[in-house]
Amino acid sequence: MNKLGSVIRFTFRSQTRTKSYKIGTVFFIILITIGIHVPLILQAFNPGGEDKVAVLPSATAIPAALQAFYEQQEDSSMTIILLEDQGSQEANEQLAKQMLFDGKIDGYLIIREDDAGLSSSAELKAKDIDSGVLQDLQMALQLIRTSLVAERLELTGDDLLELNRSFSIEPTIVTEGDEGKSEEEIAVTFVFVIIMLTLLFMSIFGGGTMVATEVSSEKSSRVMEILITSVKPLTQMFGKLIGIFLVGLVQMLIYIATAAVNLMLPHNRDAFAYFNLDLSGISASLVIYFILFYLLGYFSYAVMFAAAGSLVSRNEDVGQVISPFTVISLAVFYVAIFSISNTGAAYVEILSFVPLFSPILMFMRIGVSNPAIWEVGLAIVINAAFILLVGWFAAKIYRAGVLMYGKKPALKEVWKAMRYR
Amino acid sequence: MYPLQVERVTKQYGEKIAVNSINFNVGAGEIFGLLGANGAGKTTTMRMVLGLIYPDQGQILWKGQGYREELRSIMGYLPEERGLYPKIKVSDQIVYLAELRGMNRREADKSLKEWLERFNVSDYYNKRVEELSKGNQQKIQFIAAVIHRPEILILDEAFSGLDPVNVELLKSTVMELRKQGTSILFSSHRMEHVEELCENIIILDRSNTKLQGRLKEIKKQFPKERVILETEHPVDGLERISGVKGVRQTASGYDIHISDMRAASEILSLASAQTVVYRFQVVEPSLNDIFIKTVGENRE
Repeated sequence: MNKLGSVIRFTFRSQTRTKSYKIGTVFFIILITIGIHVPLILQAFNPGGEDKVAVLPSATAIPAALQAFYEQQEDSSMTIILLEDQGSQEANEQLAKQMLFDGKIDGYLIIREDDAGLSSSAELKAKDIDSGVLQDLQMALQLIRTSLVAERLELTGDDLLELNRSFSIEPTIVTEGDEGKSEEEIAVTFVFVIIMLTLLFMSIFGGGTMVATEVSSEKSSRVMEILITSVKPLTQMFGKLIGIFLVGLVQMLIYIATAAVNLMLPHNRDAFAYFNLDLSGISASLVIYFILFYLLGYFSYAVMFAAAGSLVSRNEDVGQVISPFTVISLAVFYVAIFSISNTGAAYVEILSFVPLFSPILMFMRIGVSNPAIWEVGLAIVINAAFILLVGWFAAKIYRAGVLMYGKKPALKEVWKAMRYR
Repeated sequence: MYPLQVERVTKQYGEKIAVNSINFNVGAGEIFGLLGANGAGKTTTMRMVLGLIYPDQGQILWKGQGYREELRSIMGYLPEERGLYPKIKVSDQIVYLAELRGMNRREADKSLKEWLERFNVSDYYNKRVEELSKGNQQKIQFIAAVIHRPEILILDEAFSGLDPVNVELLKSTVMELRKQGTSILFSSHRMEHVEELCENIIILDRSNTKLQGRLKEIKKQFPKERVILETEHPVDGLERISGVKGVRQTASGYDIHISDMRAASEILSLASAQTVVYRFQVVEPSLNDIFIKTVGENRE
């Protein structure tokens, strides 16, 4: 269809050329760049990054062991300073306090001895407590205590290892006739569903509002009278939807590229490595379903927004007519979030066939459990039929809209106008 | 066969009849005047001709056949309410609209440049529509209606908002399109334009056809009821001549309303007996007069 191409092309060009689009895109590029650099920026404001902790003298072997522990670790930022005994506990603490306020140390540790000549608690005093430092010290002291106790009980290294071995449970979801989904697969799907939700919401709120505004502004500028005499309303409508979809897609790709470039910068690579998500858990079919249901989702909402937009001829009224769909999309969002760990629930199964809910929930079911192939097929058919039906309906309203200008029409009037062929 | 045939077409909106059994043809190379008071059914008629709505009764034939997709590229439309994208460049949107009418981009661009040149507005090619004056937007709108060389063209108030120079420019363009064989349905409230351009007209009033036919024939049906008289000195006793219904003094003489042609010669003899006559003319009714008479009659 030549005309469809023209409509898509025109919509895409005119939307991407607006100031708001350009400014918005640049703004988000800057925001993403800054966001990715936040850890680096925080580090820059926290120079040195070394934590110096003084340990007050104690009858136990712990202070020395702690110092040795951190010295053995190559990239540890922790430095342990052993204080000389000043004769009394008060004098010791006095000295530590002095050092703290002179800025020589970040905090000091008072080891509490117990009757057995060991210790199971300590006190950390500092101007502010860094939870990372606290955890770090706690872990180190736990290890030291364990090995001290082991020594006392004359345990071998193997005994110690055996004692410390942890117990693990590996969850697997079992479905009929299949080997089930591993935890990794579910985790990946979870991430995918979250990404899909985010993408859909960005598209729905960005794209949907754009569609509705565009349609109503064509009415208010009366270009529509010329348009509907030159091109079929259905062609016009879907051309517009596809054009705006591409606008959103390009924007999204720009953001993803921005993020990727930023993450690949040398100083950000460590952060990238930290998010070491195992992508091998994604199967090709999941990606295909993702694209398919994403498209179905986008167009389901877009046709609704287009229909809503063609009801009004002033941009001020757009917000009002699209609010019901905003509420529906919020409902979908919450249902999806709350049922992701419980996709077998009856209400999820039912809603996964209901238009507007279906694209997200059926995709979620495919990812997390294993719905039968006919179920997936049925959902796709229902969604496609819904899009065509509402699209046809929207085109009809769009056409009838020429006859209705001025105030927001009552539903009865819309119905009447649609029947006048 | 006429390019556009409207055959006993009736359109109803619910209880209300918008157009009642209207019947006319527009030939190739003809400008057909569609006249009527506000709310007479002109817009509904034009929308049916455009294929936006369908008649309830009767039929419309375009080049001898019913509505079909192909018509979208052979029809042009200049709506009364101007509609262009305000924030988009002239070149972008005219080329787009031409594309929708079935032209290819290069052809459309070339044609647009020619039109802009013809209308002396070449430098608007890269301007946004909102930057243009109302009259210049009107020219652009006109270009949008004719760029694809339509065979059937619908012009609704084509010259509104234009200064006299531009009215002449567009008028000559319309006449040239006629010469090229375009069938033009022309609607306007400016009777002098209709008089100048249209050979055949139809006057609608409250959904019904009030008057229809060749403009010249129609004028013949209406009696000549006006005499223009210009003399050197004032003339006494004009009102007393039988058949004179009213005398209006104008800047240069008299505008006399008569009910009988015999009164005209009496006016002349009376005037020439008293003073020197510069001008004496029995005027045929203007379309404006005819319109007011036809539509205004049953307005009380």
